[in-house]
Amino acid sequence: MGQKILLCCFTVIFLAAVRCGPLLAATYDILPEEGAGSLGHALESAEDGDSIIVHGGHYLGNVVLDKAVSLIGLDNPILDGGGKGDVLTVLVDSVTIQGFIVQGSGRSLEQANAGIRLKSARQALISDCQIMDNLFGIYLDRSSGNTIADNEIRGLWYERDTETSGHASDGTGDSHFFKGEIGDGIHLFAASENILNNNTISQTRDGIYFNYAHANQTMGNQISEVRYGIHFMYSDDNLFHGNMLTNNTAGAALMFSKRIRLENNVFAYSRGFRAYGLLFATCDYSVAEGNILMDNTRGIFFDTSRHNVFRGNLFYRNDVGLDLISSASHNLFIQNNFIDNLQQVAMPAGRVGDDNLFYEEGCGNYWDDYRGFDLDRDGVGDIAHKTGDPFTFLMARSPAVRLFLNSPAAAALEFSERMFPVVNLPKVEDPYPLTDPVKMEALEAVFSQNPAMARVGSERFADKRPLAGCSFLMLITAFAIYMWASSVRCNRVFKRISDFVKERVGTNG
Amino acid sequence: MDHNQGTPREPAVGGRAGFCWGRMLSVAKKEMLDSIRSRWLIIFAVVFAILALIISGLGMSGLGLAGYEGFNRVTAGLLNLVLYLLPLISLVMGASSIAGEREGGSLHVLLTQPIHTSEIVIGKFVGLSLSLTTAVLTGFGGAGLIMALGSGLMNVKDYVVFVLLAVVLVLVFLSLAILISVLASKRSQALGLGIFVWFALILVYDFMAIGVASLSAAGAVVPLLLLLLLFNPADMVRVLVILQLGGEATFGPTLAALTRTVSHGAGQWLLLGALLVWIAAPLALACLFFGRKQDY
Repeated sequence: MGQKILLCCFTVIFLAAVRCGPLLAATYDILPEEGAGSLGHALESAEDGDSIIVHGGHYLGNVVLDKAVSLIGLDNPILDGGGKGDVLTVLVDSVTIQGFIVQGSGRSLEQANAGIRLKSARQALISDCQIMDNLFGIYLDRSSGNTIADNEIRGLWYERDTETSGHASDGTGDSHFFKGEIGDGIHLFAASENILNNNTISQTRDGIYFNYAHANQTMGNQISEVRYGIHFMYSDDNLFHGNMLTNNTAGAALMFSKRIRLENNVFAYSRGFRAYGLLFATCDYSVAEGNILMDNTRGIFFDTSRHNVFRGNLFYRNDVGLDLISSASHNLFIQNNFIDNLQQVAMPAGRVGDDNLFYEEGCGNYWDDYRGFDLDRDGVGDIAHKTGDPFTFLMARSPAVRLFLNSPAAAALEFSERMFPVVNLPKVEDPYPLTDPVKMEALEAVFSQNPAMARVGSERFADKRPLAGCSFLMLITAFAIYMWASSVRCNRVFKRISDFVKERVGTNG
Repeated sequence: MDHNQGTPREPAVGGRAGFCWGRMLSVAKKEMLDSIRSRWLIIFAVVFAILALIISGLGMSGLGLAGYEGFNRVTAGLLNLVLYLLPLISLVMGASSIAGEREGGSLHVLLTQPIHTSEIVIGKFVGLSLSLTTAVLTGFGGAGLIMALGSGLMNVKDYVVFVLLAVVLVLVFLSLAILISVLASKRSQALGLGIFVWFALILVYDFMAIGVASLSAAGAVVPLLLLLLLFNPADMVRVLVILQLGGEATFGPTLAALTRTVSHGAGQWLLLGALLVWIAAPLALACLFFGRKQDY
């Protein structure tokens, strides 16, 4: 009887094991002592849906995922391609890769060697990986619907910079030294509907390169020290929200693409003689809202782009806020803040371009150099604002004139032109200039999630105490000089005090 | 004054042999006392401070985002205030100093004292420099405090360099003014000459230089511009301030060679040296001419 029960039990367990085997996913533990081959063995024997937990250590060799497994790294295991091919190749859908350090891909640009390559893979999740020292960071090859989040990607520039530091200062003024043999942080080729969130990318060629990649969502990434932070090529309907792009040659380069939405991003510190915060080249029907373009050589550069809308952006402290080439047409700029740009709008061709409008339905932009008035207090200035004065006009014609920036002569030229508008200069006209800056509320929400982004504007002035101290010292110095000069009176005061003291001491004694 | 009381009074002719710091400082102190008594120092300091405060106060953009205030507007405004007002005040004050005393007759009395002519010239220069520096420091100190309490618009190093360069500008134009004052025979003549120099150096010179800069041949323009810079102290101060505040990219790619030269190593010293020459040379000439002059 007992044996029967035991047999029954065994049968049940056996049946359960056989039937539920694929459902109850197996978990494989990989330890570094077992050698790099153990990972390959585990992958061979694993079934779809299994988890492979890789413990901290160094695993040399290229890994190919051809089963829908979850590859989880514990204590930052290092996957090292050893300088050959792609480090990690994904060939199937629904793979999870988490918590690895991926390094040492091949260096062949022809094969586009990458840290992680997705080949026609869907629904993959790649997160919390550090992808360093690879030609390309992550390469999405005809792979759609994937999620790439919270990764840190650093390219090869650092070592190249130090290697070639002798050539780096070649007098062009570019802050980075570019060389062809560098890949992008994340490269999407014909890969659509992916989600790219909260990644940190630096020192690659382009931060994220979209090539024939449509309807992707890119949010909360931080991209710095690359060529183009974001590069759209023939990629339509992409959303780009809450990203921070600093110290790049161009924050974002939008080329041959349509219907791109740029919302609440910060494009800052793109400095150099060919640097742009945002570059529009043959990019149509796009919308940019609530972005900050700060401290760039050119805020936005426009070339042959049509039917774009710019609403509620801040152009702040750029050398040129908006560089409008006349081949751009039918663009609308409203409710933007133009603050503190050396030149608010530049028109290299000498004209504004067809139907580029700076107002719509009685609402224009905020210009901090607007010198009109608002008698009816409706928030819209009563006389039109026209950008451009003779000095900026001269500056555009012969750049050497720029040496006389902020000079009294330049101010006098501007003043005289306003009083006696004899010369006919090309100007952007805004008939409804706003008297107060447009509030950027949506950005505040983004800033609260990303403190690094909030710091961009106030970085220069982090600590106010030295300024206060220095100013106080100046006042003290001024006072001291004053007292020294009028020391005749001062002596008299001192004498009176000392006499008084002597008297008191004398009477006491 | 105390120093003169201590030393035995030598005959006027023999007393002019050596340069004495004490006597020079006495003249300087007297000059400062005059400017304090005549209230213009206080008035100028207050006006300068109010203007600086207005400019730094208006820079706040009211955007609601911390850090995105009108930094360039403030610095451009302060720079223009410095470039217009300080040379003008320096020239007017300096030009009327010696010429004014000569017209008033007090210079005769001063020259009967055992005091060297160069001590008078340099004493006047130092006294006026100290008065104007006091005014500038008061103005900038107040504005700096407001900025620090408000938005902290400026980096402390940039601000200090800005103020120092403003003081240098004062010294340069005071030195020029003293030379004018020595050369002119009447106070009104000195004042007219001073205002003419202000107009020429601040406006006319720049207009002409802008004309030169808009020549198309960039290769020839850059060395020419450097030369033009060296011959105008106001332009030098402006360029140095902008380079300090905005960095060398501010002047654009065409002038990269020039701004690099001027903001690094030898070029920087060249500009500072030129400014020093601008302070020392007119003053030395003034001493020379004042010593040679017979008809006071």
